[in-house]
Amino acid sequence: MSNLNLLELKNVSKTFVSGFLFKKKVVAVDNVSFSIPGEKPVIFVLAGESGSGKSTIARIILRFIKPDKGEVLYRGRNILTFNSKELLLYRREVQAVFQDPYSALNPVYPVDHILSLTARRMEVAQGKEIEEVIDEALISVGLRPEEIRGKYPYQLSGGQRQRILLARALIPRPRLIVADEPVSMLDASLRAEILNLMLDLKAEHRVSFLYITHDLSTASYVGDYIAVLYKGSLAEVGPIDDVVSNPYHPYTQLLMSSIPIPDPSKRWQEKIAAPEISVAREPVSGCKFYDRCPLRKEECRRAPPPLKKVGNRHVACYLY
Amino acid sequence: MRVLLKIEELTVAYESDSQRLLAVNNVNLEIFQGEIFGLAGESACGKTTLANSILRLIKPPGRIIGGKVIFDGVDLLSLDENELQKIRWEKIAYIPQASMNALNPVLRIYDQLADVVRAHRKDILDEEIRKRAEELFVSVGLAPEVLKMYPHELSGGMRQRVIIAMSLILNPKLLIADEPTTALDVVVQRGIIQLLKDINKKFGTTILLITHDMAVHAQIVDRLAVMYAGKIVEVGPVKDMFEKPLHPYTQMLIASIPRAGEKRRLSGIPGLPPDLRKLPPGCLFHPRCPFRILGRCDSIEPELKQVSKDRKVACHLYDR
Repeated sequence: MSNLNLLELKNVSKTFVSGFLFKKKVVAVDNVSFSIPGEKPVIFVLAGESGSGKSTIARIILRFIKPDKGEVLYRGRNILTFNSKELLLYRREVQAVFQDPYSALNPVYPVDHILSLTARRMEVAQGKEIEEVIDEALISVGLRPEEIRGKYPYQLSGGQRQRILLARALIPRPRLIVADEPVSMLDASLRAEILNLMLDLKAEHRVSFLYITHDLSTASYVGDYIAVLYKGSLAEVGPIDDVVSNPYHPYTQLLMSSIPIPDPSKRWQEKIAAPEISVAREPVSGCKFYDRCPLRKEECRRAPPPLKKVGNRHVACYLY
Repeated sequence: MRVLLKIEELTVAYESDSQRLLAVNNVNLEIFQGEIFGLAGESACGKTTLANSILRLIKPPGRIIGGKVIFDGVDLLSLDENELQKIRWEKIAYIPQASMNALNPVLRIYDQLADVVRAHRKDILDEEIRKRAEELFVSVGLAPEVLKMYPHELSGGMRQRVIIAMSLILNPKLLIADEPTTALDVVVQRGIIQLLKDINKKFGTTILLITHDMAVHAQIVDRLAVMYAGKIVEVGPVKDMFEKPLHPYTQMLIASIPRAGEKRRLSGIPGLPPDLRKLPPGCLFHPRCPFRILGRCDSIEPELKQVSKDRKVACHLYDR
């Protein structure tokens, strides 16, 4: 069963320690498990507010950092045990696109040179073939090679730069692209085009995405599945349409009801309680959402709720 | 409806030796007393420059080259610096973009707040300031203890509430807020939107809300203006504008916003906003407009004209 998964995280934890004399521990990722199915290409959304551990999980998957505990399985094999040859293969198949298209491209090279570096490093093509591979990648992201070749990053708009980053990610013909907030710096009109491009790449190039975002409207537009993080732990995982229309976890409920609806005839009627009026925060040993949860019970304080299967999804809440 | 702020033919230019670009291009606007007025548009359309020019905060190479900003019957552009100082913060408070990150890290919140008050009211007693601050903090959803804290002890949402409380401390008539919710998580964003609404109701403060986020406008503003390349292209009650946007740019902008739970294919706006140094002739949107009338839109600039009782649009499709 698990062999079918493209990517699987099993009980992954990561704690950052800072400070010199007084060590401060921050649990960025706390016992997180989820899997991206591998039968067909999907867009899997990892959602959460800032500081929820989304990007730390991305960095663990990309092997920029190692988890303290747990396993990351790529098509059934632990990426932490890969040798250098296997790692090159993994890096070809799992690519990344980041938030800031303005800083992710080296400003001193024309973009086709940047793309050719990827083709060479990843050993995708050699000699003349490299040019063909680059043109093909540019065309798949909706750019005209003859217009783009020779241009420097500063000569391109934000949307074009984000397309270049997607083209670069496509060059090694990946199976999975980890996209960390790829549209959050773009204007609405450009954002729609990049989101559509992700949908097209999924359908035509059969690439899956791990789409990491805090923006639930764009997530629900492109996503197939969603995992909702809260302070480093998973609150809820499941098919995105069900989670959006009928969230189970009280945090997911709060999150979904806070998405501003772009329709003045559907304004929020009732108020939500201002969550942050108290400042004191005692360390919680139970559910991390305890102090903000409207439905909390005594047992929620005792131990963190395990992620349980409820219908077609997984929820970490004692209500279920 | 009483007009509180009237902007007439305002033009702001950024100039260098060889070039001049118009960031705000002949803008006319009226903001009524007691309303929440929204200003929408994508990056670099001139929203922030327009806000800055209301309180004459434009710095070289920027320059206001023409027009009037009439607040409560007085043209702010004709006042001297001393007279204007009495308007700033006392009559018109301004929350610039990202100002929640501009609190002084080494001063307690109360001291920063008291500084503001003393700069404008020399003879005020400490107790009075403290009393007013405590009352205000409760109205913005903060515990009075927060006054004794330092900025680093507060979350982003709490810092934004502090900034809003500070802006209100002298009881201004108009509050200008530039992207006040943009860097915040959705749940916190919802709290701030609610707070701005409450302030508008409770204190009768007129609010000019500037944001690129159309969903936020839909949730809070009474009337909306859409800006494109330095010009206002459409103004009207927000309900009517979302129901039946008139200007093709407004139509496309609204069509590009994803709605949670909807999978209808979004359309972006092909092309890019014009280079402000080389404006196209005629309507500034015509190169991207699917409805352009050749021979008209590409040569004659449309004026912002009244098309119904409370709606204005700058588009040749509504000429008669």
